[in-house]
Amino acid sequence: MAKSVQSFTQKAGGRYDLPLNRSGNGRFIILLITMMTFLAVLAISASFALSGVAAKWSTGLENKLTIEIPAGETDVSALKVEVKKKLDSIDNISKIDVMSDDAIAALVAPWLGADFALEEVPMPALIAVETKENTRAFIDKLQKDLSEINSAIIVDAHEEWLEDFLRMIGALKFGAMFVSLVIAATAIVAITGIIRARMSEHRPDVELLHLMGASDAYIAGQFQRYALRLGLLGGAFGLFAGALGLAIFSVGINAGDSDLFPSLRLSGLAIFVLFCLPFVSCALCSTTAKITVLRSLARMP
Amino acid sequence: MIRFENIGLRYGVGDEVLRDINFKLERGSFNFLTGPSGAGKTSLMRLMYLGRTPTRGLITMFGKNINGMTRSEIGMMRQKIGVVFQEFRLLPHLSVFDNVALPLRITETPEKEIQNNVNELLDWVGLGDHKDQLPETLSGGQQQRVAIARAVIARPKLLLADEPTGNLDDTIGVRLMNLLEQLNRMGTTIVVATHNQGMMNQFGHPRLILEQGQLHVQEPQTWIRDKIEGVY
Repeated sequence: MAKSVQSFTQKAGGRYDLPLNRSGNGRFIILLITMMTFLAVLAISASFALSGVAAKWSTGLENKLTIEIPAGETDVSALKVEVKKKLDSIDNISKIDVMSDDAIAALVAPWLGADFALEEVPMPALIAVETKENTRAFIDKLQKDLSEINSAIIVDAHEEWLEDFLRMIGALKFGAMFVSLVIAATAIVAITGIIRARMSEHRPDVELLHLMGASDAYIAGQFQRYALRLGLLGGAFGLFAGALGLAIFSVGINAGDSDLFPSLRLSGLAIFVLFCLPFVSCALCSTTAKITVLRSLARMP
Repeated sequence: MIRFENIGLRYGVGDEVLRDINFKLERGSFNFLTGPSGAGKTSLMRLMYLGRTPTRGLITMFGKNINGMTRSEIGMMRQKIGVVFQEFRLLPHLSVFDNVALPLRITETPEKEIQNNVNELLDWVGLGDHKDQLPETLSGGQQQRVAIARAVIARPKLLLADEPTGNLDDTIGVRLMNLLEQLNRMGTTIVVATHNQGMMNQFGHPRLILEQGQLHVQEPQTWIRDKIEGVY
C-alpha cells in the first residue's frame, strides 16, 4: 500500500522537499482515517435513518386522534352515536371513522385469539378522527365537550407515547452526531500527534528550509499536501468500507419487513453528505497538519 | 552592509558566549572569521544567517535593523543569505539537482529558469554529470561543492561558509577557496569561518578574530606584520 500511496502522490505531481511520502507511517495514517471514516459513515447513516423513523411516525400520527368509549359503560352503542353526532358538528374535523366490531376484533385478536366471541367480552368503542389542525386547545376543548356526554370518554392524541418515542429517537440522533464529533476529535488528536512526530523526525531538514528563508506557509504546505492526500485516500477507503457495511446491514434489516424501522434506503441528501466525507477527511487532515506545523514553526526564531 | 553593535548572546541562563561584538562588513568584502575552538564562531555565524536572535545589541543587515522585523520579513532577509554549513546539511533523499534547486523552489522561481540556472551552476562547479545522483554517492569534496552551489544559486548578497575546508584535503580546499574568490569578484560578500592558518595566510583577507566571546578585527597588513614578528 505504501508503494501505491507513493505512486499516487508522485502521479499527482506532488514534489516534497521533505521525505514525507517515503515513510511506512503513511499506511498507518491511511488505516486510521479509513477506520474513522467507516465509523463516521455508520454514525451519520444511523442519524439519517433515525430521522426517517421519527418522520415516519410523526407524519403517520399527525392530525389524528382516537376517541375511546371505555367498555362497561351502560350503552356503548348509544354513546357512539351521540359522540359521532357531536363530532360531525365540529368544523375542524375532516374525517370520522367509527371502528366496526370486526375491526376492533382484529385489533385484539393477537391477545384474545381470532375466533373468540366478541359479545362475551365487554369491548370499548373506538372512533378514529382526522382533524384539520391538532392544537392543544382544540384537543382540550374536544375532551371537555365529550366529557359532558360521558365523563369516561377519552380523547387520545397519541402525544404522550409519541413524545417519549420521539425524545428517544432524538437522543439516539444526538448520540450518533456526538459519536461523529468524537470520531472527528479523535482523528484531529491522532493526526496532530502523527504530524508532530513527522516534524520531530525531519526537524533538521525543516530547520534547514527555515534558514534558507522558506516561509512558514511553504513548510506547512509540504505537510498539508501530504496529510491532504492521505486524508483523501483514507476517506475514500473508509467510505467504500462504510457503504459495504451499510449494504450488509440493510439486507439484514430489510429482510424482517419491520414496520417500526424504515428501510435503509438513504435519501439524496444523506448520500451527498456521505460522499462529502472523504473531502471532509481531507480538509480535517490538511487543516490539522497546517495548524500543527505552524504552531511548531512559531517556536523557531 | 552588515553591522553588529554591542551584540551579546547567551544560551539559556548560562554565561554569554558572545560579548560586546562590534563589527561592520562592507558590500563585496571577503573576511575570515577565526579563533580557537569554542570561541563562538558558529554562534556568530548563526547570528549572521539569522538562525538566532541576539540576547542584546543591534544587528543591521542590508541597511535594515532586524529588531522588530516580522517573521516573513526575516524570511525574506534569509533568502539574501547563502550558507555553507560545516556538515554540508544536504537533503539525502533529494538528487544533487534538487538540492541545488531548493532555494529557487522556496522562492517559487519558474521551473524553466530553475532548470537553466541549476544546470549552468552544476557545470560551473564541475558536477554537471552527477546531477541525478543522491548526495551519499558523492565524495566529500563533491558534496561540499553541491553545498556551495546550493548556497549561491539564488545569487545571495552574503555568503557564509562555516569551516568549508574542514573535511577536505589541501588541494581541494584551495580549489574551493578559489571558487569563493570568483564569487566574491562577482560582488558577493563572503565570510568564511575557519581555523586553517595556512589558508588564511595564503588568501590574505581581513580576519575577524574571536577569543573568549569577544571579537577583534585584524586587517591584512596587521597579520602580515604579526606573521613577520612570529605572532602567528
